[in-house]
Amino acid sequence: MTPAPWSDLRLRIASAAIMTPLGLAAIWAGGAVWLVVLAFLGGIVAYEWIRLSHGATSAATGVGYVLLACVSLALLRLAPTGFGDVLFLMLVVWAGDIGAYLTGRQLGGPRLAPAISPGKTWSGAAGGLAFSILAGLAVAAGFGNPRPFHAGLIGAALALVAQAGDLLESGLKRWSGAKDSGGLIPGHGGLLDRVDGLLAAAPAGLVIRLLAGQGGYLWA
Amino acid sequence: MGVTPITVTVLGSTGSIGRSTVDLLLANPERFRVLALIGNRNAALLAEQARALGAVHAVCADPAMYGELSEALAGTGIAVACGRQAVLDAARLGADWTMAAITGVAGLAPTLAAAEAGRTVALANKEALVSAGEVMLRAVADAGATLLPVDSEHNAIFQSLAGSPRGALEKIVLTASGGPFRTATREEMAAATPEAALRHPTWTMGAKITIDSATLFNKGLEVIEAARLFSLAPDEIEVMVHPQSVVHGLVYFTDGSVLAQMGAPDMRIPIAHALAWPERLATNSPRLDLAAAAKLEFLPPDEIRFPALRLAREALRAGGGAPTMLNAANEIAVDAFLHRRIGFLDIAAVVESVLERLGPRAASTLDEVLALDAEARDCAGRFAAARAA
Repeated sequence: MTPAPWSDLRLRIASAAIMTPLGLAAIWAGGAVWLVVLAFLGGIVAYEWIRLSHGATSAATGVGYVLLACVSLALLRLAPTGFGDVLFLMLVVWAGDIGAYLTGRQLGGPRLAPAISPGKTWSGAAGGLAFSILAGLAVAAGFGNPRPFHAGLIGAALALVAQAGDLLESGLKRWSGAKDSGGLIPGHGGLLDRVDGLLAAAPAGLVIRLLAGQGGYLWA
Repeated sequence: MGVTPITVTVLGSTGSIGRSTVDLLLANPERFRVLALIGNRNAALLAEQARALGAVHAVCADPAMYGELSEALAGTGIAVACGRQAVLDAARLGADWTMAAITGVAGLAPTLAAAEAGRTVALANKEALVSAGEVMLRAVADAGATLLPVDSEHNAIFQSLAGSPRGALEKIVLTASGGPFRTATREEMAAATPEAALRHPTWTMGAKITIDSATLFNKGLEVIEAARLFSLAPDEIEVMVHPQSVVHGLVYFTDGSVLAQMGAPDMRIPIAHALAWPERLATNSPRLDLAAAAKLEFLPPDEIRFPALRLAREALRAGGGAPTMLNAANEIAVDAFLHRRIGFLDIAAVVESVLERLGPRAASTLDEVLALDAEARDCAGRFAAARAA
């Protein structure tokens, strides 16, 4: 498997330029807008997962996994801390994706998990982690964060969960013999490919938010 | 009593109206359960209120105060958030009763969010009905929300209406204390300082509203508010100067009856009425002493010395965005006066210039209202600067 040429980055950026403001607007709006967007995108992702599945058990597992993420994102956003929490979660995951892509491409090096996902390198994972931590710190700072160390730590934890989710989906695709999970967003494969990290990070974010002692934002 | 407590959210709990509301909630813990308290910058007071009331959420609009607030509430289990979106989300949590007491245009979006949740909104934010009246009333109607007036004058009218049908109503009278310049000449008013204008004879309030009482813009804004709240035409709303501030409002009915609401000048009385409506809540507010009041005077306002009433009626007749511009221009002019950049009489002059310059405008969505508000502020700033020069 040869790495995709740099040119697909342009298509990725063009897609991201449209998707990112829409996503941010939905997070900003919250309330019913957020629930409708979640239900719509969740439906697409669940459909893509079903297409990749072999048999009813794996399809049901996938749908449950997507549902869990959607419920987590809904519960997180409906609380007054929701705008900050979901923004934190999303930007940590997105920055991790971008950071992994850029550093992995620049540095190369030993593969992270060649049996599951030949494109991923250790350098990409480390770069993604660094980008995630920086994004988490930036969001937290925007909300008057009094404990930067804590915010960085939670950003890192969520980034690791997101990377694990990413590998999980790669493994699933490999197992079912598909290259992309769908063709909805140009340059981005399937929507599932875009949100695989978030699917894992969202329930983790909710758990952290609840364990953090109802005291405020999930990073605080 | 075994009654399910009413859930309450207070938007602007650290302000003057908010503090009075919190007093009443503290005195009646069995009747109310506090869902969210929302403040802006006073994190210490917000935290103290949230602890005392056992609030579920405490939200400060200013992210810079988050650290102080979360530290003050650490270990209490009270959820803390900050920022404008957090304020909107807290307003949307769906409390049975919401006090909308964030002043100024900053209060518009949270008040609308509370109305859209479809429960009861006690309205103390004048701008919601003056600046964004159409938008607000539409949101209330669409969501099936109940609007209760907290302003002492409108609450007095609401109480005096006593559930009578609209057809039985002839006119209403809003009373005005007349402010510190009630008997001053135009020359004295032209030379008035902010300190003199801030010396209100009967009510203790914030600086902006005290100046508005001195110019009678406060009453002008209340005329617009009354027209929206009670669906009245401009000539069905009369203003009377009543220096004793004992009678807060009167309603004339078609049979010749006139009902009035009276009481000591204490905001806790109208707030308590709105909190308990349709029941009543006991308060320890000072009781009206009729013998001490002895004499009640009512005088028609002098619209030459106080042009604010005329300007407000004109804005109400013009409709559309005119009240939005009136309110925005007045805020800028009052600020310029408080900073000694313009004279007292310049306040109304600046407002009139802005209304003339910008002409008739539409403002039928919140975004249009906010854009027009910003434009009118900008324009008023330029007129104020021209007068200061």
